[in-house]
Amino acid sequence: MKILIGTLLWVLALVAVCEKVDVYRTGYAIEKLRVEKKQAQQEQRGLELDLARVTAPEQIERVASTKLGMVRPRYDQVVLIGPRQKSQPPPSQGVLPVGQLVLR
Amino acid sequence: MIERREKRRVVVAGVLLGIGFFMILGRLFHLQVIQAEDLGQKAGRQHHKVLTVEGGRGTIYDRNGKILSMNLDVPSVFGEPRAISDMHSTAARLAGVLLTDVTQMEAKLNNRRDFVWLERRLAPEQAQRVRALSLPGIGLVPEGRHFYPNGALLAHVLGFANVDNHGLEGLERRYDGRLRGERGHFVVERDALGGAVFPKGLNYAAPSAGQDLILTIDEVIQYIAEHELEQAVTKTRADAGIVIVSEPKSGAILALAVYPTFDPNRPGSDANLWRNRAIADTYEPGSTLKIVTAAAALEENLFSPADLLYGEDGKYIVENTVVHDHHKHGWMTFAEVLQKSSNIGIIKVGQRLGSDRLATYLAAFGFGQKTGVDLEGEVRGLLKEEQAWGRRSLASISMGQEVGITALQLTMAASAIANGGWVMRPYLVSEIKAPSGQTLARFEPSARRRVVSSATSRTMIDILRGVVLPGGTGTLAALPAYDVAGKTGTAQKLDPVTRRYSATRTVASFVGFLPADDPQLTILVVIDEPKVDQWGGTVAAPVFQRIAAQAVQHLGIPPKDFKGQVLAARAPNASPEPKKASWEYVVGR
Repeated sequence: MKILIGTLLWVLALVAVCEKVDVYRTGYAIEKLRVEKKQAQQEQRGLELDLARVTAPEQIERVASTKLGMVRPRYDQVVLIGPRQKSQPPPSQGVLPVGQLVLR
Repeated sequence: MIERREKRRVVVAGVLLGIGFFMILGRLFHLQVIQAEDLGQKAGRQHHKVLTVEGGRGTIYDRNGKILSMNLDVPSVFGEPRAISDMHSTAARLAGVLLTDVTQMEAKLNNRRDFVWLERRLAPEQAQRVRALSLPGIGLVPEGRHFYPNGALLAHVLGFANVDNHGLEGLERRYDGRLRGERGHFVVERDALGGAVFPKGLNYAAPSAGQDLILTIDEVIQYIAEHELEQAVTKTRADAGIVIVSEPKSGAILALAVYPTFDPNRPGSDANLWRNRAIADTYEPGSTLKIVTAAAALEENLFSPADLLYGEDGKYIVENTVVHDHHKHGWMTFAEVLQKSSNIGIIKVGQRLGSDRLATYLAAFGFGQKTGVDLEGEVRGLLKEEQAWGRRSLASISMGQEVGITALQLTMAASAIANGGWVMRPYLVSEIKAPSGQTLARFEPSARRRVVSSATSRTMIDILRGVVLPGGTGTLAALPAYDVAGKTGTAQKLDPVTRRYSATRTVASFVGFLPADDPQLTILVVIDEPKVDQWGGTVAAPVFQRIAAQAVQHLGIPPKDFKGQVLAARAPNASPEPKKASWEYVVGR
């Protein structure tokens, strides 16, 4: 009887210890994932910021004028033509879609 | 004998053991009962660690979802002086990496406190170098820093926030309570190495990220306005300049440019540069205010556009003061008074209107009051009570002198002429969103009052069309294929020494709207003290024209003879998701 009770107590203690170890192991895993999530979010925000920087109008104008040799169109170089009707076929290459501003 | 001795030994041993037992018991009682609370707290501090998490400042978007300001965590370096054995060596190595003075760094480290900030918000490469040093007692911790990806663009509207996450200027200040997230904290158990282990059931207060603002500003139109303003101020060697672009029907501000400007990423210390001149500075508007005098006279049925007024051949005496016109005029119609910007003509209009009615209309158009725009630092302007007007005040105020207005007040007054007579409340924030994307507040256009009828509005628009036609003072504002209505202004500035109007120091301005038959844009250009030229019609009107030309293309506003059909118009309160433009540029031929 004494041996049985002793064994039972020993098993209970073992289960309790295992459970505690499991809690700590899960805790470490959660903490690791939290850090990873935070890093990924930061990376995403950093990329969004970079995107905002490179698509800023001043940056676009700088690249267009210095690297691509583009110039601002004069006002009279822009023509507005009518919108595309539903019955018309979609524009193919070389055909200007109707309803767009055209630089000439 | 032996038994007695053994018994004595047993008693002595028992007594000693008993004393020992009671001593241990006493110590236990002292530790577990008397010092329990104090020791419990100490143990808690050793085993538990409180982590503080910054909520992060909200993001500001333009009307098309472009990011105008954003918060990002960047590393800050701190020191724990008690954990540092060699102060000088640590300070020298850190100073080398952070590019600071060794003595200053050592002074920061020689501190009795447990924790000192050494350098906050480092560049990523600097942080990497600090990390590589692996110095004992030196650590890195992430802190939020606000970035403005467009640099100086919209600086006076956005303002900036300081290192402690407090908004100091502009919208950052006005909406600080919304933008600033709340700090959170959670308690974790520490392991033997001091690392964090997530426990169950311990205290946790989640940080809340700041709310996001969606502005009425259009980033592209803002860039166009700032670019053209800078060119004009530089070319004319002016002191400063302002451009405001707004929607007359809603009061939404599409662009608000002030020059000179600053970069909110590095605002510096010159507070003069931070001032938003469009709402915080007053100036005498000169002839642009004639639109209010004329609209009031029409609304009171005192004149019709064809009524004749005599221009006195350019010289008119008012209360012993001679008033001149820039050009000599004889008989001219009421409409021509505005087209030619005749001071004498508008004084006569003002005289028939009377000071009480002129004062009433000026107040109704919003002068002498704040517009209610959602920015800090707006002033009321200077409009004297009618009872305080002097003998010449009626004549002076009729043509835009003796009154101090803000650029935004004039923009809203011109918008009232354009939109059928409604004075709108200008606004910059159209929506406030939670970090989850849920809309928390939406700001709709709001009319403050109606000042003139739609009939008066239509008549005024027709008259102001004439200002940009041949014979008018604002021909350089004309835009081919679009009907433009507007008014030039060349206001002499008061010389602080002579206390007289200066002949050379002026404020050149042009306020106008287009398309005239259905106004969708009101644009005001103010150039302060141009040195090369001084007239509103030659300095400010061309700036208006260039901004208007690019803005109508960007917004897809069709010209007057356009036979097609606009597929979709951009809504004033567009969601942050980019919308496909109704019209696009196609480069070719």
